Amino acid sequence: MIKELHQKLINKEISAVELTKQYLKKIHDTNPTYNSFVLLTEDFALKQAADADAIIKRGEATLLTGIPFAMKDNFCLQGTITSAGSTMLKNYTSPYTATAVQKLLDQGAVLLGKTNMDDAAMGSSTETSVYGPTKNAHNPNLVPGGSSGGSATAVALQQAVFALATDTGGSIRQPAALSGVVGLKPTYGRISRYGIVALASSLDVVGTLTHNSADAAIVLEALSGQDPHDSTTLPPEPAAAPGRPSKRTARKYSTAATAAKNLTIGIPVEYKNAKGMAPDVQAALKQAITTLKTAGIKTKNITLPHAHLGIATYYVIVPSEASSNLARYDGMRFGHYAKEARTLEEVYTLSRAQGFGREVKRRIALGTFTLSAGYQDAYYHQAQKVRTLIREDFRRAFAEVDVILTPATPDRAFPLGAKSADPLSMYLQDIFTVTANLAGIPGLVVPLAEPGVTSATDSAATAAATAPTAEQGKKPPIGVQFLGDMMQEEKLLSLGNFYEALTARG
Amino acid sequence: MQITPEIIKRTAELSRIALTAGEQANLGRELTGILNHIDELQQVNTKTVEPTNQVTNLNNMYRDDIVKPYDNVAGLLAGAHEVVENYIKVKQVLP
Repeated sequence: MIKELHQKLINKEISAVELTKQYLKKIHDTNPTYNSFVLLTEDFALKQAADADAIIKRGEATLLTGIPFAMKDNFCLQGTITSAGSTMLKNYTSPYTATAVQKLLDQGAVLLGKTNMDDAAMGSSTETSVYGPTKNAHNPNLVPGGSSGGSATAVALQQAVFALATDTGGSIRQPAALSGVVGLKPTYGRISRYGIVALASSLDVVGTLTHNSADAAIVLEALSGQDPHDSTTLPPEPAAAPGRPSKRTARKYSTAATAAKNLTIGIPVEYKNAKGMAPDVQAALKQAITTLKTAGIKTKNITLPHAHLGIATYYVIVPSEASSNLARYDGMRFGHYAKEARTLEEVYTLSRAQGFGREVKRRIALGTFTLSAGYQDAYYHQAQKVRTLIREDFRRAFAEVDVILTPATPDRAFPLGAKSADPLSMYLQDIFTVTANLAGIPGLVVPLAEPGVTSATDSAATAAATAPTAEQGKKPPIGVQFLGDMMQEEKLLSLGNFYEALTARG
Repeated sequence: MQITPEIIKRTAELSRIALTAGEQANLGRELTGILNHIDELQQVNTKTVEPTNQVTNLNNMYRDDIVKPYDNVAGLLAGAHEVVENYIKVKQVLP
């Protein structure tokens, strides 16, 4: 979609200002129903679009010049509120801009605004935001997934060409699956996290929600690279041998494509009849494997014997790291301040009590407990060791196959409120996605081709014109996940492209 | 693992969050439920397994220590509740 829009821009079929106005109009028409955007940077967008038109006129446009995008509300843009969906930060004005955002702005991409998310990125439904829930683009009675639900709905409704988001355990891929768009979680350390609200630092990555895999490749290429402001970003590596490209050098994802037909896909035997998976999702997944096999792709059974421990491991490591990261919210330098506090201690305890939502408090309490004296070995250190076993499962598997195919989520989008009372059932949404974060490997979710699945844009048109109604008798979408070894995004994106072409999406 | 009211009280103190009695009771019940699921980790034999702290194997990442002018002090201080002459004013620390 980006390449097509780029052609129209450089052929002067449309100006960047006109394109930006089209997208802004779409947001104004649909946002009252879907609540995907929490902040519009309209004046800034129109100014950037005018600048983009000047760049295009000079013949200096890149693929992203003049392309309207959105970003999750945990990315900083100097001078705007960055709430992270939280009461704690709802009045926090960023004093600086995130590296990832700056890289896009430097290419002349046009920021339309910021998208909704679960409180502090903790959730799988975008229902816990201080701005209220975001609705699924296919049916406003359903959740869009989360925590990046605003970004997923924005792309599904074509309120933005693409959207930035973050993924700690599935926060990009699960909403991509539930909203019928493409979600990419890159390799840990690939993209700078400077200027992004931290959740769990050993797991958090920046990634994208896009219309297709080709667009994900273009944005990944623009964002990748070492950043002096983020010491966890991967540096370029000397070439392994003369004439051979370095494994860590940012690849030309938008042009280089591995021949997907030469890839071997691993099918984990553990997921074939995974507990808690909806039968029709299971059937759709089998159909996808058949489609790929028929097209000439080789498949092989593999085993991930520790994958079933992913959620338990994740829900020790994330709360532990989050309880440490969120210690910075003390009411002092920024964030919510409890005015009625009488002592310094009360400033801390009341500001935090008022600023954090229920799930945030739950995870801070859990993490404080799993890190506390007497319990740290049994929980945190044990989880770190099981994390090693999960990584080794993948290392063994990737010695045999190029890509691993798994379900993205256990089921389709669920109704608003359906899982709010039961934290564990919400956690199990990420059962197929957390292992990629624990291992640091990249994952790509693309929509599964199925008959009888709703179209987001049709439903949006209906909703904008009248009251929101689900399309009769149609099912919301579901995704398939491709996992690759560290730095092997190219294989995932090539396979994504190949599958989209087979199923006439692209 | 049963989370007792004493553990919840201690956890709330350590995490500097004021919780009502009702919130503490709810949290105790919820954490017990979550820990019941997490306790499956205790069954895994990890005697010879090294822990994973991070996945990139990067360490000692240095950069040049260059002093640069900074012009947004007002922006940095704008989030603080009370500022006096570029200092953040806090409640009395020593009793």
